[in-house]
Amino acid sequence: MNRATLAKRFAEPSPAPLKTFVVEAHPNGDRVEYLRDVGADLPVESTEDRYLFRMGGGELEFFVDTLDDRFWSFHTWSKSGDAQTFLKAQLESRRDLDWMWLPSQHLKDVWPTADLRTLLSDFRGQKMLPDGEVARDVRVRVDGADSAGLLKWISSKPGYAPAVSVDRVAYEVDDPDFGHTTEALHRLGRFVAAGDSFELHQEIVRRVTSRYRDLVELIETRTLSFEPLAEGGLTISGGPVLIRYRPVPDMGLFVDEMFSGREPFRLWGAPEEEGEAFHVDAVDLHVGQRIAFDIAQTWLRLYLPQGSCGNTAVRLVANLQHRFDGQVFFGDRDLQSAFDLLPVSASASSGVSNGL
Amino acid sequence: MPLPPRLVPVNAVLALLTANTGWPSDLFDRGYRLAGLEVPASTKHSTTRLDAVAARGVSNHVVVAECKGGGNVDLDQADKLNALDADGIVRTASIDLQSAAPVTLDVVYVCMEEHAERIVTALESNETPFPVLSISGSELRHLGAPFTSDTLSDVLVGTIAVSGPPPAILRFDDQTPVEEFVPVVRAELVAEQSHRREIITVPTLTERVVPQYAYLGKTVKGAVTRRVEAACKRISQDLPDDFQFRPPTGEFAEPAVKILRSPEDHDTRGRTQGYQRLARIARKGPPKPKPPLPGHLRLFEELDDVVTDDETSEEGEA
Repeated sequence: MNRATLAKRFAEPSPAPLKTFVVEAHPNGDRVEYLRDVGADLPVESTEDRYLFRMGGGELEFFVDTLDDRFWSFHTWSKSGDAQTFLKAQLESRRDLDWMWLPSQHLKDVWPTADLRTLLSDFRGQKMLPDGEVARDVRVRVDGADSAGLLKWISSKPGYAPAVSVDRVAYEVDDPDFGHTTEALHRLGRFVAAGDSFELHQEIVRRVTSRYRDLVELIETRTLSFEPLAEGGLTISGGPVLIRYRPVPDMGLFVDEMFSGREPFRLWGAPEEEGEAFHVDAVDLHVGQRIAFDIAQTWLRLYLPQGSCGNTAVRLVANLQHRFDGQVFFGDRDLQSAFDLLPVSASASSGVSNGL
Repeated sequence: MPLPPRLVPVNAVLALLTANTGWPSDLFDRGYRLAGLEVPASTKHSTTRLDAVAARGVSNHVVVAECKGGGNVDLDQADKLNALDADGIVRTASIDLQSAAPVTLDVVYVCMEEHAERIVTALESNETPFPVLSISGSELRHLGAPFTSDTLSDVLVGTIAVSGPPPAILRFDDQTPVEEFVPVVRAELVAEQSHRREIITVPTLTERVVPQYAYLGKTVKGAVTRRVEAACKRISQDLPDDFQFRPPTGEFAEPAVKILRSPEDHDTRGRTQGYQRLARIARKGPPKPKPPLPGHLRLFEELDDVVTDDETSEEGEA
């Protein structure tokens, strides 16, 4: 059992396509022991590849690729529902696993030769926007060679641009060196693939994961940290992460939903009103870490303590894209560049786009 | 919790030196960077601590900010600041100089708007007329003596519009009262619940809540730890089914908080409701205990008030 086995199985006709779930993992120590803990009742076996493990068998079987030390790929040919239910339960009950939370922009250009075929925009603003908004819930699926065209047209209508937010996409990918694969990709880092090249599928997963990692790690360089000076005193590096959005029409609704403890934000906190703004000492329940917020009508500051996971900030922004403003953006130009998949230190700071 | 006035000036200086905080970053934009906080310095008078030191390496310019929460000027400190040696600050703050020019220095007092005139007057009377930067909810304003640096004058002379208080980068000090620690400590304890941990010591909590804790002086450390401990006691009283304060014992030298239960013990719906209950109590304080039900004797006696003698006396009774 090795990667070649997976490649062979991928290329064979199969009633079920391959599903790949990318999960951010923070193992403490040995990977096998950690996977056994994650796998609960599922047996875990090593393979010929020291980074590849087999978890489970029969009805529910995963091939876990841990070559990327932070973002692990759980490949499976088992039923999607069973695999998703199992992984979701593990992620919800643990604080050391998290999904990828791909911004809309990161669902585009997954491979240089990829042809976009299907696109779903899914914006659910009912809980954060009051009655009377132009577009509170917008769900549009377009199948065709110009899938992005309709969304661009919708975005051009007054009041609709903030309600366009890409949830999933499908591409046909032909590569002269690798082969062919059809890839469907969901914003939580879930891939469904069929074709003749497992290698191409892996490379697409790696490309998407790699640019997501760049954004997460860039945010981690901004966390607030204190260092002593040699002769006494101390200095500070980093600072709050600034996130900007359209004017909030109802601040009460906005903060109540964000700190309700419910999915998708899963933030715990008791917002304290300070004039026209709010301060919240919150807990990110996905990872079990305290973070503080200042929330104003058009921006929020996120105070990430040293050692924080950058996924916290990306998850927040990605969820705001789908719940409040599809055009949300980072105040920091470099973060916005990584968010928009532009070269860092080369983009404008306004950055208002839906990634279309 | 609003930033207390005594911490506004130092956070305003930090904000001016930090990009992308939602506050003006004019000093950062002109190349100034924070060199240090609480930097020791020696003068011909004695030694002192400088609240904040910033430097612009390309022009070898150093700025010392004296951050005043109130309106009193320590004249001895003003004399020390007047006698500062720029080269000495470069050494103690490990500033990297990038120009061959001599090092120049500006000292600026940073204070709340309501105290600015008083501070300017006190400095002038002491013949240490430093420039003053005042902070209100809507602007920063330069008063008092001019700056020696043209760059600093370009940035700070006149007014800079701001919207609200600066970001709370430095949130706690030795004067922070217990009630300001409570929401932060409570969030840390809820984070511990989410991990299903069973106990956390007060020193560990203090280090998490006050990130600069390791670099504080011994006295300040003690003061901060005592307040975090008091916050733990208060939270344990407010949420007695969730947390229990454990004082130091012979077996355990450090005070700690025991975590008695966690919303994570429930299914998805119960878990969310469990966290929401904690948030409701955090917003409103603990539910008021219901008064005990009165016993039958108390109710019997109450009859005296609801039945008058006239109603009970028999007609014709003598």
